[in-house]
Amino acid sequence: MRAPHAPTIFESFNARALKPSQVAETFVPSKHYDQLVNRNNTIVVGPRGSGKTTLLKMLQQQALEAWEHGEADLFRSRIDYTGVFIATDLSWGAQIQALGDGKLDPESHKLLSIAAFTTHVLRSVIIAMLQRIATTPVSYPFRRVTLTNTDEVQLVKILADAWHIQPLIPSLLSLKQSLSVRLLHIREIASSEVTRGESGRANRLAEMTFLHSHFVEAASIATESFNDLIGESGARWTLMFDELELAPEWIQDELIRSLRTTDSVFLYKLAMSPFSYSARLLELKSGKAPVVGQDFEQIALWYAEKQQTYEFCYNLWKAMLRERGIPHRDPPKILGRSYFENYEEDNRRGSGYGPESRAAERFATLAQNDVTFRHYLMEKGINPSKLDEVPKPIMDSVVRKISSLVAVREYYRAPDRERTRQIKRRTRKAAIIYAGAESLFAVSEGNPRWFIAIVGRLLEDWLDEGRKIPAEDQAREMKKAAQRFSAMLRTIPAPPSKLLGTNRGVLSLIQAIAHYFHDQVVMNNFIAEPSLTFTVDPNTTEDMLYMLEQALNAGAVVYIPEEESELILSSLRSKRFRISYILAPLYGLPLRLGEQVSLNTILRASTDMDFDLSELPFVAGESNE
Amino acid sequence: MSRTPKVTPWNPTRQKGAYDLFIAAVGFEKRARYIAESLVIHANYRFACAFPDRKTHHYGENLDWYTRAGYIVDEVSDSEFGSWCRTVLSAIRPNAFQTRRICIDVSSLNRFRIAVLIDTLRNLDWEAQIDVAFLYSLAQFSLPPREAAPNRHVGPVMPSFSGWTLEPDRPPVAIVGLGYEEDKALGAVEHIQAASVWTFLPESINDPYMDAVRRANKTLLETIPPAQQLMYPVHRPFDSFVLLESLIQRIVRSNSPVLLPFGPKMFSVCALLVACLYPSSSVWRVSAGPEGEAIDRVPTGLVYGLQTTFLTSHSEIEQDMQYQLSVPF
Repeated sequence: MRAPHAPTIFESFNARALKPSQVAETFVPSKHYDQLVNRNNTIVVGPRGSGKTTLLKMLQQQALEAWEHGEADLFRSRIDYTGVFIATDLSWGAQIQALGDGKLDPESHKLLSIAAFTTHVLRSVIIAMLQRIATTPVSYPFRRVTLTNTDEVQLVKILADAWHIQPLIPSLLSLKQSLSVRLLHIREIASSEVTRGESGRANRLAEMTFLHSHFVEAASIATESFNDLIGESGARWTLMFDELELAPEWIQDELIRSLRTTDSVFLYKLAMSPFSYSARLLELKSGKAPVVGQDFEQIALWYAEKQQTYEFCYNLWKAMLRERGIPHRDPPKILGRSYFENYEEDNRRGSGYGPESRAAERFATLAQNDVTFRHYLMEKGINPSKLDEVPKPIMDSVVRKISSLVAVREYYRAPDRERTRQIKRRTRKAAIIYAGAESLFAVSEGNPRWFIAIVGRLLEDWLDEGRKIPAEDQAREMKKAAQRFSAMLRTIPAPPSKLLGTNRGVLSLIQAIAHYFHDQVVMNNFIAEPSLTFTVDPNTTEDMLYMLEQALNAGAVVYIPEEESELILSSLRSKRFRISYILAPLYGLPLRLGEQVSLNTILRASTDMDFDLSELPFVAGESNE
Repeated sequence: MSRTPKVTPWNPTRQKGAYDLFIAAVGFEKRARYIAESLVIHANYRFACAFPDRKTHHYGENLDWYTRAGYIVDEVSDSEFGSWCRTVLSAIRPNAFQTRRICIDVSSLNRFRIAVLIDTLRNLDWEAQIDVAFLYSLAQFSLPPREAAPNRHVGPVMPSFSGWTLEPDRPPVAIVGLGYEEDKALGAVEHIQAASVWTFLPESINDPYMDAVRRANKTLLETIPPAQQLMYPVHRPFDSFVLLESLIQRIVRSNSPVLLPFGPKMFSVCALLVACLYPSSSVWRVSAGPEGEAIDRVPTGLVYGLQTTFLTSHSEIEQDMQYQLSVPF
């Protein structure tokens, strides 16, 4: 059954805009969802667009009742709890922040903002209850129960008393509306307190008992009472907090601490960005920190290495074809093969490196055009015109290893003979080397929002289903996606930075890093192991750290964890990152990990950016590489 | 409780008698004194606020002109501007129920200051009715900034225009007045992760400007359904207000509107006045602050305006809340 409202392009990129039933229409279960449905506390970690909201929404009853996938019944049978989705977004976060127009003392502001958030949580609990007792027909009724009128009246009376609220009539719907009115009331209190001033404020606020409700205690009264009335005593409810970092800090801290509670009526599913101040609570050494694997599980929605994205993208690809009524075909059949990979079927002699293979042509061309690469091959004893005769150990340790670097270098570097005084970049308008299924999947980073944006447009414009989608079209859509993403990066507010200068922000920092990596691969003398990842120096300044934190949460840089358990960071210092592959077509970067280099080294080398290097802390013994 | 603005067209031929107060800005743009100089605004009190930064282009001559013309000129920072507004308005505080008439030239005010002025006006605790003419001097086409400076502020234009939704689970919808800075609107829309986007393209007599706006927003416009791409007449601010108000009236029923008024400043005035009527909507500002490039604006000689009466009635605010509360589950 299709939803009556067809999502626009923005809506289809953003699960927050969709009703749970709309999310279910195209949802494809993944290993992440498989982990998420487990009956345990979970933190879902990922940058924006990585699918956190989609996953959480798929635990809502409305989504499960509309979901028609072949494995849906299996998942439905595993979910024995009620999902309560607590939505948050930037504008709601800004509204809470602005309570009292910035004129309240911090304690009063904290009290009122927590009260507003608590009201939002309680309202979400009531919405979930209304879903449980709904009688509207659906495809797959799920965990529906009957609550008699008498029981509903009794429940509402209990809650009205506990929550200090007076619904107009004793129904859950009226209670929900009363909670909306309470939100209005909280804002009025904030405005009124600004006018009345600080004198006597503490007493006035203390007398308003509803401002002091603890959201977990208040919600548990509701769920326990509901459970008792429907005969499901002890049944679990799952509080699912989206975009947790936008909630008031006290709420964030409470929820992180709650992960340790074993006897709670609630399970918690928290969606967070990779960087969060609250993560410091996960790092406490006092034995009070919740422990991964013991108190909660973590799900990382990003992929340090490109191969990890393939399965997710492949499944999304299948779903997108199905949604458009296109018979299934493997991605390479429509998108072609990746420019970076070498396939045996590419030439007659059965090797991806035979004389007429793409790889052999690239090696030969680059060797002809680039003296440093020619010298490198000579040192290794490799004849570029006879690549398939290279002994297997050298083939594996050298040729295959540098193959993708050679592809990028050959594509973007002008021949030596064309240079006048310095090495030149080639003018390449279309980044067609990133076309092909495997590359396009890697460029999407397995980020559903980006993948849907790129592939959705390509499939829309694909008129001749007998032919592959041209590489130029793929390159164009990938570049557009990168430009949209860059526009967003440019919008992120940045503090003034002495080092970067007044005219530079988050995007400029990313550009400096990307240009450095591009130079390593394309412009400088050829090396087999160029730096393509960076570590943040321990002495990195606060303004730079702030920009990197924003870049990480936006998905512009990708965290490469040393330990699998450490997915949420409270500090970026000494951590390793790479530039997101979504930006590769803009900056000419290979789709692979490489050696690591310190951020300070990159900034020192960025001479064309006119940074104020005197602002860069110097550490004795640090090399400039 | 704050006042409700009642907006009507501004008719220059019907502007009889002196204003009680005229407020202008001593900016660096050539047009900063056009209205004051050419319309010869008669007012009992005439104030001009100067900026402590970007004293470039025509700033010096504008400062001289306002001073020689007898204006009270004060240099105030953005953080002092609210206090300055209250002081200036206190000069015309009425003793009884007499109507006060104010004229404000918004052409060279920044968006933050326009918001502060409107916020101050709607919160005046006078019994009197307040009539305000917001005037705007249309500038000739000038090239957009060469390089976008990093943003220092992305968020509600000021805390009291943050909006307040009664249903936080309603996703935000962006209503964007388009300007000609390349991909600025796109970046803002992506930043707030809007569920849906409506764009307002300024329909101007200034053809190069319209073309530049379209070019700068090409990537964004490609993704917006044509039905959600609206045009508004820059030369008829009242029509723009009505168009915007009717859209917001519809959107607040199911979403939280976030207004992003880039482009001509009169659209910012419209957005702020609409937000006064619909408190669940917020008005955002994306700004590089004083580090943004100072672009001179030369007046075309065309002046547009919007007449606003700040009423003490709350009927329309209550109506908005009723909308939000009446949406069935």
